[in-house]
Amino acid sequence: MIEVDLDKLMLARGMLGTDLAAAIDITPANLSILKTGKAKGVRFNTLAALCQALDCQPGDILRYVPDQERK
Amino acid sequence: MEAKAMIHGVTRFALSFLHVMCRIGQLASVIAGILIVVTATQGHVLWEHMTLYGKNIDQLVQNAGVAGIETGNGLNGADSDMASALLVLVVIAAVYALILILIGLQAFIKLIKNVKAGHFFVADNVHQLRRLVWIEGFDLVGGWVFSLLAAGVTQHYDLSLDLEPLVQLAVTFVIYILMKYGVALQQDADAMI
Repeated sequence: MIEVDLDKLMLARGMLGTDLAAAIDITPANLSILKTGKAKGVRFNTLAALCQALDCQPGDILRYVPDQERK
Repeated sequence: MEAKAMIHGVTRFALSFLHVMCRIGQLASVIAGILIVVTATQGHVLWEHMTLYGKNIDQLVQNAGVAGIETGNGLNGADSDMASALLVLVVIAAVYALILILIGLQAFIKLIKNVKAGHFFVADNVHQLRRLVWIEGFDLVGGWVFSLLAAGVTQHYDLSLDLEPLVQLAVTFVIYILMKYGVALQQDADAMI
């Protein structure tokens, strides 16, 4: 499955959830859904905004973890 | 996105159309209600005016009219037991139709409010449309039952099949299915961040 590594990136950049949510124009609730991996999908423009705000690449945010490895 | 836009368009058109039909039905029910009160106080019933209730009650009235003609004196001069039974039947049918119209109106108003607020594909709209499908179903079955009862009272059997309520039910059901599909699409879109 796909895991979202937003927490680590935000910690490294010293960015708060509310600031990031405001920077990429989504609600803090939706950012929380994204961080906890409960979102069904991510739009390209949201991903682009995240990359711009966190100065990173999509691969730094999203990571594929095989199900067996996860267990 | 094109499919979604098309569903939006179709649903908007259907809701507008149904809204107009609803207003016509409302007007007809008010006129019919006034007629019942006026004619009841005069001591006789103007059967022809009851056609305002629509096709199903129309069937009943037709039977009543034929019964009156067969007696040679019109309905007012017909057998008093039959006239009383038909009066009761028509009043029950009218109340039944009125209840359906009121429930339908309530559902329509909620639908229109949601649409005006820009909430096209929400669970409440599916709920209201499901209510309308049930109302159409009850209208269909009620029409058959009242026609059969009227035929039993008047001994005049008209076996012609009225497909209009069935078509109405089918159209409402298709709109309901479209709305259900639209809500599922909307929920999918909302789950994307």
